[in-house]
Amino acid sequence: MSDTPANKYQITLSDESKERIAKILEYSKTIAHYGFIPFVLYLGWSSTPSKPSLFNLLSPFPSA
Amino acid sequence: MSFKVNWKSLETDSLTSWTKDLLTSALNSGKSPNILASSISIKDLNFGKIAPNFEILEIGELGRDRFRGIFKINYEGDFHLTLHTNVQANPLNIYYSNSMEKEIDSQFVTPNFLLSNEQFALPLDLKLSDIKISGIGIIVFSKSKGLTLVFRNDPLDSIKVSSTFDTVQVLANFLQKQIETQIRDLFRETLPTLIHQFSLKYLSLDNNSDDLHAHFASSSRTHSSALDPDNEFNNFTYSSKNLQKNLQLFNTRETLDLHIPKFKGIIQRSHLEKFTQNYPSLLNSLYLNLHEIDMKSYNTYNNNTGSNGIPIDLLINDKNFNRTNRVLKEISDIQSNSFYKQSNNNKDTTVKPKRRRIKYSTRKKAASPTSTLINDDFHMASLHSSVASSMPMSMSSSLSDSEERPQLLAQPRPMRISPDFYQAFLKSTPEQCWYQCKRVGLGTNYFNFATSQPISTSPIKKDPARDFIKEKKSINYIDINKVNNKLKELSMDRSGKRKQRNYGSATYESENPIVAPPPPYSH
Amino acid sequence: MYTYMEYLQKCFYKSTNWNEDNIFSNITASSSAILDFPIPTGFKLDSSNKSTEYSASSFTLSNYHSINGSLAYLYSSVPLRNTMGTKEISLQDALVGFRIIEPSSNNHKQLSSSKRHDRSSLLYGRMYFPGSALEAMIIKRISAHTQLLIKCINNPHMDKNGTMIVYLQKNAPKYSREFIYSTNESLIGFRCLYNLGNSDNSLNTALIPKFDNSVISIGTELWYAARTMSPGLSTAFRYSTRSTSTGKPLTMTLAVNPILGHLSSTYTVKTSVASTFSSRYDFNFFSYASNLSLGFELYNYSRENPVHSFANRSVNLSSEENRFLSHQDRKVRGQHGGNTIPIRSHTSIAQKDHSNMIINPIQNLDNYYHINPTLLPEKKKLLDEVELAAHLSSENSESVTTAFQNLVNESDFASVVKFSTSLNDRMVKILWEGRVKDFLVSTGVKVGMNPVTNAPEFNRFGVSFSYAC
Repeated sequence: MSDTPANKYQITLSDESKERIAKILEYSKTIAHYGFIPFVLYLGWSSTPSKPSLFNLLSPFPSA
Repeated sequence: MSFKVNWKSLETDSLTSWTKDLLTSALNSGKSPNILASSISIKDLNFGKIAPNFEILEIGELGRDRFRGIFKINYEGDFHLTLHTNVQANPLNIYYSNSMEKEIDSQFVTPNFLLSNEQFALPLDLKLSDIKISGIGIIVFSKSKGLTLVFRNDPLDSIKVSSTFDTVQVLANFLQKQIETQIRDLFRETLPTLIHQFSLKYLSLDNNSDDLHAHFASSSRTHSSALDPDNEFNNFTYSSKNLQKNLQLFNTRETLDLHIPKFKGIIQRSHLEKFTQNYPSLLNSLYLNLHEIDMKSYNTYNNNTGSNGIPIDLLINDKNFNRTNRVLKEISDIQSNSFYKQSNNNKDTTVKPKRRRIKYSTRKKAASPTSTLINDDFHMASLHSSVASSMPMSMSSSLSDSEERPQLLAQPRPMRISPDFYQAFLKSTPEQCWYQCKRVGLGTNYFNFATSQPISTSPIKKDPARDFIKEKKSINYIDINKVNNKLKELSMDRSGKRKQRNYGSATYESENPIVAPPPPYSH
Repeated sequence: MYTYMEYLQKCFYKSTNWNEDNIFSNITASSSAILDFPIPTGFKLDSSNKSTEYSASSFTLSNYHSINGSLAYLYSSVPLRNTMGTKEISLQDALVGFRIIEPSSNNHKQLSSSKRHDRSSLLYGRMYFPGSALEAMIIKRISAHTQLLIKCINNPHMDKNGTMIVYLQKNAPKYSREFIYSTNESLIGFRCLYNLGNSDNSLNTALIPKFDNSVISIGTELWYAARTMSPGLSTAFRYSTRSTSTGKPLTMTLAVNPILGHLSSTYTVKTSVASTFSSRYDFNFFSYASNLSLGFELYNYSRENPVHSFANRSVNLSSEENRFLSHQDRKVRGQHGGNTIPIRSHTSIAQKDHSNMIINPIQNLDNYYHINPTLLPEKKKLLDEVELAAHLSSENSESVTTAFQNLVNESDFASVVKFSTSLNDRMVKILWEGRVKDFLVSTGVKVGMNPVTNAPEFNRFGVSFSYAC
């Protein structure tokens, strides 16, 4: 039932715009894929009051 | 070519268990689908009573260490096979297993099921029967790469699958479909791989091949004891002599070696020409011209070995001088004929044959040039000279139309020669030569293929030899019609109808068993 | 053994007052920790660093099939102050083991004060290489008792790349409910768990002290994979209690799958401070197939550091409830003037500790600086409050159980050996986990009987090192 409005919407779309939407979705997926970890890092950096260096944040090894 | 498979020999316990083991490992190899809760075991295996039809369509390559052929297999027998396994009846368990093997760290996105993914296996018996197979396959065998078997098409025609779930139509259909695809896979991938591995196992390991050798040796020993290895017609036993000869033959083919070993009763393709073509020889012509010579002396000649295409025995053994004289005259006639024919063809001028003259006595001064010529003729023939070897063709052409012989020369008259002289001359020439060269052509019989045995040929037809030369095809060309015709004529000859006397053809009969010419080929 | 990221997630749950034991999927956590523990495969090295209080990073290298690794980052909106590196972490916190089920009413009472974490969140991302597959998790607390948990894996190199699973969880003291949706074959799930026999009324618990120790939970799960039309259902019952005489906790569960007729009963008991035993019996109504699994875990005390100081431990304890309990224990032990727990080594610790009563907040004793949090001025106020709350409940009824629990929590263990076997599957699993230098090492082997040849064969073998600071 919930599919019908989506189907209607799809029918009205031209092939070109369909393609464009698919492309945009693909790009956004890629951005989300590679942007997630930087986003996590940014959140950690911004919430820390001392604003540590990027190396400190990135390095998974204990810094001396 | 087709084979008859002794299907009943398959019904042994060892073979059945071996096949079971092989099938079990093949079925359980690789990743089993999650729907199977346990490994597959074989409950029952029966090869049935009806054998498959196996037909060889083509042999592409046949060598010592390689073989390539195309075959066809047909099977509509009563083979049946029963498999036993457990299937997963809990769909959520299948979901769980599928999800777990999907990604790198699948635990992460797979929900923690408590007991709803508990596995629940149902036993399943699966019977495969009524298998219909018809396929065309290619077998390639190479000593280094092993045996490869590939099917050109999908060999499986139909199969009947019955299982414990036959009452459930959906499941039955599903199983039918799945098993058909599985068996197709088996024929396409598993079977070739298995056969290949199996062949490699026998080829690569030395101890295994030793076993095989021992096995063969023992079997061949029994064979050879049954058949006399010295029997000249028994060419097909695996005697070391024969194998060695085979090897020699093979090597000559590869290296252009001129020495080709001879096989009794076997004609090589390259020499088949001699059957199909009309090679006139001195002897042939001689006997045609002197047809009044009785066959007895002829036969005695044939039994002897060591001459240069000259019927020496005829000359030596015969006490009748007149006849010897006639023979010599004839020989001289033929040779000079051949010589002049060649020179006529070339320049239309008559050139006197250069011949050495040997004077026996100074008393016979008044001997005509023709008589000395005869003497020389004789020597020429007996010398097996290189001159002779260079002119077999001209010889044949001259023989075919000897009526047009130039009348320039008077009929030569032979001289009397003492046999001792001749014998002495024979001894001075290398023996090898005498042995090697025998009958066909003059001097060209180096490549003779049957020295000691007479070649049974039927009278050659009247066609002029010149045409033969013109029509001469490649050495590999086999004029099958000719061979067949000759065979027919041979049989006619043997029934006693030997009345045709064609110039330039010869008829032989011998007491020796006549070796049959190669079997008639069909196009 | 938890990975460092899992450990941080647990710390996050603890500091935001999220009771994991109240989730249906963890209803058999204790028994499965002892019977179904995973064996590491191949070689694995794990190095983690908590760079700030809000973020942490981890690097993993393993060579199971080929050498591959992963890099993980974590962000928490709540400062994770109560975490420890592998050097000083207590094994009980770092390993998956027996879980003592706290009566939820008590938990609720003690820890409901932390209202400030109502909208906290945790983000976690891990990138695998080669292949650059991403593993991401977002935990977002919507209200004090409700959270949204999203996990997803995205692999750009695969056709059907990516699976996402969303949990909407409500975790109240009396009950918990979960709605789950997974994009993998459109799986829909519902889980719920109810705690029976507990009343929030503290007066009531004081009157009937025996029931105060026990938790009865009943729950069910419903699944439906829409694409493959595969349903699933199971129900479970858990009874967790502590012996009134010895204070040893035990957990019994009974789980039923009515569709398949499967029944699974477990009995897990902590037989002593350092050992746990568990057994499970599975039975199927339809096929009459049965299976008995047995397993135990044995902790070994640390030798080199027998007096890992009492006070120091209380600082290091990873949650506030533990801190509270340890404090309570000290009081109890002081009252009893010794204890009845028959662990010799620990008795000596206790006695030694007792004799060296710490008066100052930070005291140098046996070359160690002992920090007594109860004497620290800032903490004192909070702990006094907690103490007061504890006084309200019956002090006597809690004395034995809490004493035992504290012993468990405070014992300084160096290693643990886990053993489990299953009669029907004919396999044996042995796992050793412990501290080597500053590393936590986990190594184990699984030996199974080949069903065809009946010969024993190694199914799994592996070593895993992990370091965190």
